[in-house]
Amino acid sequence: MVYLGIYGGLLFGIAGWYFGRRAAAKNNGLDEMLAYMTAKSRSISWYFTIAAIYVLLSLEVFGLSVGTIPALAILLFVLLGSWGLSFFILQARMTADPDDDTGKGKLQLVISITIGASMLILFAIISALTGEWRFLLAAIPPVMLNVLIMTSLRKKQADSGKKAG
Amino acid sequence: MTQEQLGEIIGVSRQSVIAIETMKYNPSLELAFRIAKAFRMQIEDVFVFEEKEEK
Repeated sequence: MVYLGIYGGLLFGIAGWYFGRRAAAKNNGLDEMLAYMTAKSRSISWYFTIAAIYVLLSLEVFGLSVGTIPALAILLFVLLGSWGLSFFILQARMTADPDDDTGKGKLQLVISITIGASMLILFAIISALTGEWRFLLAAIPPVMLNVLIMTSLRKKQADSGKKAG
Repeated sequence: MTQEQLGEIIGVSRQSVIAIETMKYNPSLELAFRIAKAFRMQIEDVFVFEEKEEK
């Protein structure tokens, strides 16, 4: 089962990367902006990974060791997850067509839900691994902050829409 | 000329053309020259350097 997860994930990852590049090549997608967004999102993902390393180190210090393999799995999840997510956000922000306003709000909602769900999953993994349910409570502040940011952004957008109209 | 057509000529995606147009992405010097060439113009006629205001 573990082998399936590790090597199946690797296989799916490589297949996704290969077919993604093949599809992008069809409409000149393999250009310098793609290289820029890939490098930038990889750079951003390292900040999240550093934060995750500190969280795991803190758990170790406070006597709540998660073990080597789960810790590596969490770090891999955070690195790849934040890389993919930051690439997605970067792409959406840079390539948003100013003439086409449809889908902008939907995209923000999807991003917000993805961030919130990722945080919940991360804290759920930590609490499951440590057997300490109170780690789930630690997910409340970042999730609430996410909801607050999203709500204020939508309000700001609605206000500017009214002014423009 | 449409964004798609320009993208085909200079070898980038339509999304990249949008990002350059909306100033979300600064193209490399090589790409900037290719864009200018596509319009048969000088690079300084297409791109104008604007210094960012210090906050």
